[in-house]
Amino acid sequence: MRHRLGYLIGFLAVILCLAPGLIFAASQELADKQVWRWGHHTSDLTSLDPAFSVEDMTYSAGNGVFNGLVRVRPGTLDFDNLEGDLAESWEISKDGLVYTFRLRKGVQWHKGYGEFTAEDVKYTFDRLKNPKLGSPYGAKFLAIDSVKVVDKYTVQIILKKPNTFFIMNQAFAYQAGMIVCKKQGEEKGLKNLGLYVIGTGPFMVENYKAKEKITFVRNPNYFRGAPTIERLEMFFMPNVASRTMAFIKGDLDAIYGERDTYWVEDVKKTKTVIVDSVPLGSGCAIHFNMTKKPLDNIKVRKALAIATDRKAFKQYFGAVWHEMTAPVPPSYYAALPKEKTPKELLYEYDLEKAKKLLAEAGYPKGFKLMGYITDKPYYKSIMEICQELWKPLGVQLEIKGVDHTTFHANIRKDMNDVVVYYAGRAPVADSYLTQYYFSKAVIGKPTAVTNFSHYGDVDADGDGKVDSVDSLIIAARGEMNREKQRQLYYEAQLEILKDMPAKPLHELTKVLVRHNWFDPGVEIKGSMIFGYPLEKARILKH
Amino acid sequence: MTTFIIRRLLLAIPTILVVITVVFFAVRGLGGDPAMAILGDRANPEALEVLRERLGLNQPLWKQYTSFLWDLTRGDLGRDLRTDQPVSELFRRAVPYTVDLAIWATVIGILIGVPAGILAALKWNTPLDFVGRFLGIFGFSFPAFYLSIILLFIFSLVLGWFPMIGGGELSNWVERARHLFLPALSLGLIKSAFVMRLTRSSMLNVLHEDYITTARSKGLKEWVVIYKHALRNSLIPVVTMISVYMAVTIGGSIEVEIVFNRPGLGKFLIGAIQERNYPVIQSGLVVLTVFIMLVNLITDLSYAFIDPRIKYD
Repeated sequence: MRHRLGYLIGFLAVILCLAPGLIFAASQELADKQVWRWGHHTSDLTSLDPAFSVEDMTYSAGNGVFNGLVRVRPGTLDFDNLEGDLAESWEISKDGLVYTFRLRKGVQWHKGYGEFTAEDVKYTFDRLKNPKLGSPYGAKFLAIDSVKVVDKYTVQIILKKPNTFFIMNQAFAYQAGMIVCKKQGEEKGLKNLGLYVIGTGPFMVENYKAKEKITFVRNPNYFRGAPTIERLEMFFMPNVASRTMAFIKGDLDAIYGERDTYWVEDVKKTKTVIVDSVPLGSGCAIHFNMTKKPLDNIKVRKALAIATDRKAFKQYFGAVWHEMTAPVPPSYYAALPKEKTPKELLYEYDLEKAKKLLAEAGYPKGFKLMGYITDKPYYKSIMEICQELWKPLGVQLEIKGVDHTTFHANIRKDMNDVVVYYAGRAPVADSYLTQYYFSKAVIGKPTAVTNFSHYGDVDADGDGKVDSVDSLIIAARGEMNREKQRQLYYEAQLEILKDMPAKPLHELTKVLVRHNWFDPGVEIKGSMIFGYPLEKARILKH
Repeated sequence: MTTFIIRRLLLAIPTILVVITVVFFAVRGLGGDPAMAILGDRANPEALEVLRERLGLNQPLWKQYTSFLWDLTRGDLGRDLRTDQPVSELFRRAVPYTVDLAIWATVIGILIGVPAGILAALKWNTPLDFVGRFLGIFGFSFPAFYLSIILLFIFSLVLGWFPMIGGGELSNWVERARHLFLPALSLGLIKSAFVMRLTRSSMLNVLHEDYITTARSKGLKEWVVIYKHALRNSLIPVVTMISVYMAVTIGGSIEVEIVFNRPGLGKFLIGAIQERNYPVIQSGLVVLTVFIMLVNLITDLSYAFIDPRIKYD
């Protein structure tokens, strides 16, 4: 009897031990239909041509169609361990001017467009450089002097000046760095390739329906092996309520979520939902227009910076909020860490100190400021919070709400006293500093990008000399020693903080949301795109 | 009748011309730059200039205006600035979704609103009338997009009866109807509040007329008095207002199309306005103008059927 009882207990113990494994095994079984349905937050897309992919949805959708020369490992932002994409390996000459890429052999373009070769790489970069194409990324590629086809599978890119960030900034599997098909480009002529593009990636464009969806089918000849997912359906769903409901119902496997802590907590209540709130995020700063009085006075800007309490934004954005204390967002390469920043340059909240600074500057009773702002909530809320935070200083911020297109046009006409701006850029300090604090990027110039504060063109600290970090940025870009280079970027960021042309506020992460039956095939620690990596992804039975 | 129709169609030409002119200059007065909207915030002035040149946005305004008019006379609605697709091709697919929605919302509005209005008028100043009036005001002030979200929540998410995404394939009538039901109901319920209030007040006016008293004193049955004498006479202002309200229905359809992800004209227009996509805005509004004018013409013609005293000679 005792033996029987022992056997029974043993049998039950074995069953109990195996049960989770059995359940796990069942949940790992593939669904019969390998169709991935994704809800995106924009109302449409315009072009999948990498040279014109400027919107979140556009370059994210195109990500599965194309490959670059080099890429970050899917699901990570591990920039120290990049891997070859269309390039098998690469070398950089000692002077930092020549990049030699050895390409994969036998990679085929979609739909019978032939084999990928070095000619396609040359065509891609020459096309981007051509001013007649008018690519918004064009200026960035002018750093290339020439592209030389060494043989069918070897290509050399020669730069005008050494730039250690060439791979991460230009030759990367991201946005314009994707390699396009020369044959298709020549068929279409020197213009936007549109939506039905030819790539080498795991998915091929199948059909596009304006304002509704775009579909892709798997590439059976993909060089890393055909993906498990047979078909992608990406729906354009700008309304958050219906996008969320369709997702909760299970009509969508994954969606792009909202950068809103209440929304995130709410969707998490559904048991099957997994939220991947990951970098690469968008950095946000409030830029002070130093050509406008009284913002030309450094004490005034410092007073406003000190009165702008970062915690107020933390409270508003919650889980997707990450503190940004330097001009470069914290997840970017060579961002100045908080612990390396002197306390006085963190500009932490201190109302009394702010009042004192303003009185010293000759504005004890405050002044009026004006700013146009877009109706996008994560922009508008910044202005509204600043409006409240600055009231105790007597600073009245007049907010003029306009639509997104008008906002972009107005801030480039220097119409704002203060500009709230978010951006995700190539994940290196160089991209951020060049676009926001380099003198050539000052708005109003032919080379303008997004330098709204006019930093680099004006006397920021009141000593009668123009303050600029141009030389530091240029020196850092060409520095081959990583540690020295990092120090140069730190130095530039400290200088910027001293002159306070803009108060860095926060970096908001991407909010990717999925059901547990969608397995991306890799751990999601970060994402360059507004979506998931799909080449190893699969749909599980549910 | 034929002369009347021809005259009305000819009169439509100057109206459309005025609409085109106003729309053409108004959209350019909105501010914002289509080239910037297309190329994004990274584009430098040089790239923006190349695009403006390519899209013809650097041409003098009068030249852009005359070429738009000339293209329109040839039935060419232009090309989408962003995707370079012909606007007519985009609209060919989008218009049926919007027309479906506008027509069925109106049908639902009439089917619910007219009987409810008659009932409220007949039960004037009774609890039933009060409830009807309350629902009328409530419905009239309820935003269509909010009702859409509530209906979507109940019937799609909780009950799972209707699909959530898209407008269904146009060639598949069953799928098309299933995708249409909730959006049409959202707009239709709001429209029914308006129709109910209008029918009620119109019926109340007519019910106090002498000829109704005469009809009743002749000993006619109550349903004959209501249907033949009161309703037909009270319908003319109702029909007029339903047609006028069509423009409001189309406006409401924009919000509803976005909530239900229907690829209709409203969704195109709102996107085009945000992007300053001039050809899509201009042509979209011309299409809507023509649609509303056709509805008005049909309304005018329907008077003759409702009231035999009206003749178009």
